[in-house]
Amino acid sequence: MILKLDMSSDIPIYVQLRNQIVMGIGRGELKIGQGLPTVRQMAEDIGVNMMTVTKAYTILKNEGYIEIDRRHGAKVSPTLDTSGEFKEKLKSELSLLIAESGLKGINSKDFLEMCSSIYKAMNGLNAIGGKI
Amino acid sequence: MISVIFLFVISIIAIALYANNHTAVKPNKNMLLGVTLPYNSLRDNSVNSIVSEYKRMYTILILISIPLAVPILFVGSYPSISIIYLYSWIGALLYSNHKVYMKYTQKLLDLKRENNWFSGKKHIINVDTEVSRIKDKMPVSKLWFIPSFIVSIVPFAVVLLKKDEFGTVKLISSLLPIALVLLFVYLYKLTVSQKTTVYSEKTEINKACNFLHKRIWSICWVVVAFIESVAATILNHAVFSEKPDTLVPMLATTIPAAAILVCIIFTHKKIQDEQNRLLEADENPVYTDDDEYWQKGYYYNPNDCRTMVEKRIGYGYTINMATTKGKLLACGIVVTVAVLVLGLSLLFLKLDFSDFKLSVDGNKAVIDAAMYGYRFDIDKIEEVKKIDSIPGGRKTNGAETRKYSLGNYNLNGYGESKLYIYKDNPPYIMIKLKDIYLFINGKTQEQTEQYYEMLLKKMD
Repeated sequence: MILKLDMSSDIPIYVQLRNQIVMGIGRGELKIGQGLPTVRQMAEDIGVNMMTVTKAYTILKNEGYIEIDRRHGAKVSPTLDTSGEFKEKLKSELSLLIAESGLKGINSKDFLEMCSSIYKAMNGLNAIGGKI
Repeated sequence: MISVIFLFVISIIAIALYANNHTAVKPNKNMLLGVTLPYNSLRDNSVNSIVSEYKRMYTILILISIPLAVPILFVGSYPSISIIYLYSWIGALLYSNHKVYMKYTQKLLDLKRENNWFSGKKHIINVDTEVSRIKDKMPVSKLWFIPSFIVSIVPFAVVLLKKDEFGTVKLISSLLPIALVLLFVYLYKLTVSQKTTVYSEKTEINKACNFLHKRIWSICWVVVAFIESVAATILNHAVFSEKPDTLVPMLATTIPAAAILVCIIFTHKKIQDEQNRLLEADENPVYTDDDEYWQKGYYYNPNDCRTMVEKRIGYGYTINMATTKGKLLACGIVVTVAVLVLGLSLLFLKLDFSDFKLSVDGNKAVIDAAMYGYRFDIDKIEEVKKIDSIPGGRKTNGAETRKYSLGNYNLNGYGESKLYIYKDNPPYIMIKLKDIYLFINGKTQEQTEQYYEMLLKKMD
C-alpha cells in the first residue's frame, strides 16, 4: 500500500502511520501475512527518526494488528477482540460520534446507512471474517 | 607539462558543468529546471521559452569562460600566478553559473504560480510499503567491492614489505588508493539507504523504477571504485618507481577521471531514460511538490532528517541545510576549501617569489627557503665544491619550475640531496654533510661566489 503522511499536519507522524496501516488492512491494501518494512527501512523512507516508527509499530502490535518478528520484521496479523475491551472503547467513541451527528441533523437512518456503506467498502474485512 | 594538466582541468570543468546544466533542461519525470510541473504543462510554450533561454545563457557563459581561461595555459616563470588565476576562474564560473540558474528557475517558479500549476500536495510524504520492504535487495551486494579493496591494498602491502625504504610520504600515499575506495563505498551506502520514491499508485511501477535506480547506481559505484583503485595503484607505483617518467602518472590520472565522469553521466542518463519510459505508460502518477524546500538554491527541509539527499540538478548528492549535521558539514566544507585555496595560493606565491638565501650565524649555517628551509652546523661540513651541472635524478618532494628546483631529491651518484638552485646559472655549490648533500647557488654568479667564499672562510 502507499502511505501518505502529511508533515504539516497537527497529527503526529506515528499516529498517522498507525491509522494508515489500520486503514490499509481494513481496505485490503495490506493483506494478512503481508510483510511491512523494517523500522530502519521505514524511517529512512519517511525521513524521520527510528523512534517514531518504533512507536507506531509498538502501538500496532499492542493493539493486535501486526506481529513483530525479530528476523523478518513486521507482518500484518490482525487478532479478534476476545476480552470485549475493544467493544467498550468503541461504545464510548461511538456515543460521542452519534451525539455529534444527531446534533448536526443526521438522523439514525442516514447514520446507519453511512456506516453500512463504509463497512461494505472495507474489502479487507471480508477476508478476515472468512479466515477466522 | 604543467600546461597540459591545466588544459585538462579546464576542459573537465567546462564539460562537467555543461553536462550538469544539461540535466536541468531535459524533463526528469515531471521536473524541469528543478521545478515540478504537471505533466501536461511540460510542453507549454511559455515553459519551453524559459528553458531554451536558460540553455542559451549557460552555453554562452561556458563559451565565454573558455577564452578567459587561456591565460592560465601560458604559465611562464610563475606557476603560482596561473594557479591563483585558475582558482579565481573556477570560482567566478561556478558563481555566475549558479546566478544564471537561479534566475531562470525563479522565472519558472513565477510562471508556475501565475498559472496555478500545483502538481500534487505539499508536505506529503509517500511511502510504498512493498518497495520499502524490499529496498535492501535492490542494489548489488557490497561484496563486489572486494576486488577493488584487494587492488588498492597492494601499494600499502608493498610499502610494508620493503621496510628499508619506509617513509611517511610513501606510507600516506600508499593508503590513498584505499581511502578512495572507501569514498566510493560511502557513496554506495548513500545509494542503498536513500529514500525510495513513489512514482505511481501501482506498486509494480514503483518497484521497477526504484530497482532501476538502486541497482544501476550501485553497479556504477562498484565499477568506478574498481577503475579508481587500479588507477591509483598504477599512479602510486609510477611515482615511486626507480625510473619515474611523466607520461604514466599523467595517463593514470586523466584517463580514469574521464572514464569515471563518463560512467556517472551514462548511469544517470540510462536510469532516467528507462524510468521515463516506464512512467510514460502509467495512468496513475503520484505527485509531490517539494519545490519550496529547494527555492533557496540549496535543499532546506526541516521535515526531513536525512543529511544527504539526491540532487535535483546534476549528479550525486547534496546537503540538507536544515539539519544540524548538514550545517556542520557545509561549514566544514566551506572552511576546508577556503583554507586549502588560500593556503595553497600563499604557499605557491611564497615558493615563486621568495629567494633562497644562505647566511651564517655563528657556528650555524641557515638556508632560507619556502617550506624547505634548512639549518646545519658548519663543523659538520665534510666537503664544499663548485660544480658546473646538477646530475640527473628524481624529485622525492619539492617544487620545480622553469626557474628553480627546490626540495628533496635523489640525485644520481649522490643519493639523498636537498636542492636550492636557480636553473641555468652555474656554478652550483655542493655541500657534503654526513648523510645528505646540499646544492645551492645564488640568483647571480657573484652571489654564488660570495656564498662559496663565506663557507670556506667559516670552515677554516
